[in-house]
Amino acid sequence: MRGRAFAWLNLAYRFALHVLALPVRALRGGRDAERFLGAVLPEGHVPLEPAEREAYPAFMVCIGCGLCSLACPALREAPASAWAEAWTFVVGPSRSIDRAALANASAGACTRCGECAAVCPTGVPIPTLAAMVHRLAAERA
Amino acid sequence: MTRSFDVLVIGGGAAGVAAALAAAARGRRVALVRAGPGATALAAGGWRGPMPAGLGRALEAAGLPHEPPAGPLPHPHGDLRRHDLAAPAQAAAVLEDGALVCGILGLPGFTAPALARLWGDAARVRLAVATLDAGPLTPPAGWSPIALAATLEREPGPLADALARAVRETGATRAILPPVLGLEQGEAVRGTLAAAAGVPVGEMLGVPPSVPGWRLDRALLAAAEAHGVEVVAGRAGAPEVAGRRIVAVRVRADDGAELRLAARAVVLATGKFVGGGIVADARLREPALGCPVWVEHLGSAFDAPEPLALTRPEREAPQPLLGAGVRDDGSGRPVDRRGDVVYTNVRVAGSIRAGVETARLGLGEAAVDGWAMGGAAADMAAQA
Repeated sequence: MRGRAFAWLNLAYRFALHVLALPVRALRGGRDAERFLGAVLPEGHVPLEPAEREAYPAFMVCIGCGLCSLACPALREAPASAWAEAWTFVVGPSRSIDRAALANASAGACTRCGECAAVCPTGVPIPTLAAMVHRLAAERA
Repeated sequence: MTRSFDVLVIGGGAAGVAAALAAAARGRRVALVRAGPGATALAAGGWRGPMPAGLGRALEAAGLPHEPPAGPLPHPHGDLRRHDLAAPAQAAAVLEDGALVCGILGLPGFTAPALARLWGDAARVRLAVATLDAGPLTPPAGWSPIALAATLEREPGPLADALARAVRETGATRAILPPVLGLEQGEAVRGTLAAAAGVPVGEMLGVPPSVPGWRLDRALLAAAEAHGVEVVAGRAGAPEVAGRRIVAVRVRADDGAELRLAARAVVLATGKFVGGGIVADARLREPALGCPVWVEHLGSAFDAPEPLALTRPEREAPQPLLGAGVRDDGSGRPVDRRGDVVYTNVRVAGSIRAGVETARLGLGEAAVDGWAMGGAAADMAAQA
């Protein structure tokens, strides 16, 4: 019984502290965002924009069939650029955002023709993903 | 602008190209409309089912002759798979005592030590192992199979040297490499490697994104063009209908042009979900000609994709949803739910058919179907 009463009192105490601290937090204002980014950015994790976050379910339906790479005209014509394939754009960055720089490194061959998105059987918006990867890589640099 | 043909084939995979060649062989003017790589372009390098003689000759002329393999073919998932025929590179991957299984540095998915053990156990032969360096062009992020294949066409030297060294060190009688030896079916890269190593060089079966599938896709299109078929790159839709006959089809070409293709007979070989021949969004539908699509299962007809009702938990079991497609009247003409023919001058061929699953349909079965329907369309066009 003592345990339960103590637990309730402890909870009430913590809640009181939280309520008292609210005006202090309001005074600190937007610096919380800075602290968050300061912790996250050095690890290479650039936050996503809301539009990118909304597009993520469409990115995740990739089934790894590779039809995007077969349809990409740049792959065939620019082998020495070591373009990492349209589908690794999907599979790679959508699993680990911090590798955006790697995926973007050989993005120079992309002509934004959209053939990859046209043949994708699950409708992954690959050019949108490419734009996101480009932004993440640029902001990391 | 309108172009007129005797036979219009929609879909450029195994069934579509076979249909186009069959119609061309009967002397008709044939157009083939193709939206992009589909399931055929994901083929692994083997061929299941018969090979229509005309298609076999055409593929050989296009540089991709198919021959019966000596045994089951090695697959990158570690098992051996039986095929009736194989592309030349795959046919050369004979699992014999003393064969050398090679991986390539930076190319993921083809782990030579594991594969050599698994294949060796399955085929009861002793296989050697090596990992080869394709040279300084290896990208820091690793190779994609297609980029490596395209690079090897220009710079096969480092890989050839590495292979020659490995063959010398192991005393191998044959080398089996990942399926990345060049994109063109001219076999030049494989020949360079074999000359450098002094032994036959073969490729294991491919997995998506599949270079052997890419080669087959290219060879089929080249064969069609070589036989006078007009290949149009674009997506067909919006058919013009007179009664129950298709008169013309509108095509949005890849370069943006809007074409109108008129034809006396049509073969619909657009495949299923992979190539976009059947679409499953709010409803199941066939986007090129609007043929009715529904699945019959457990006494009900489903015209929307309902995965819970239309799939089975056993992975290897037939999946009703994957068999969604267009039904026919027994002669290839598409029908509706009452069994009435929707278009009298259309024939369906290949995996677009209801009751057929793309993954279970052999290339040969699709090709034979396409060849038959192409011939039927050609005869129909002659009478029209």
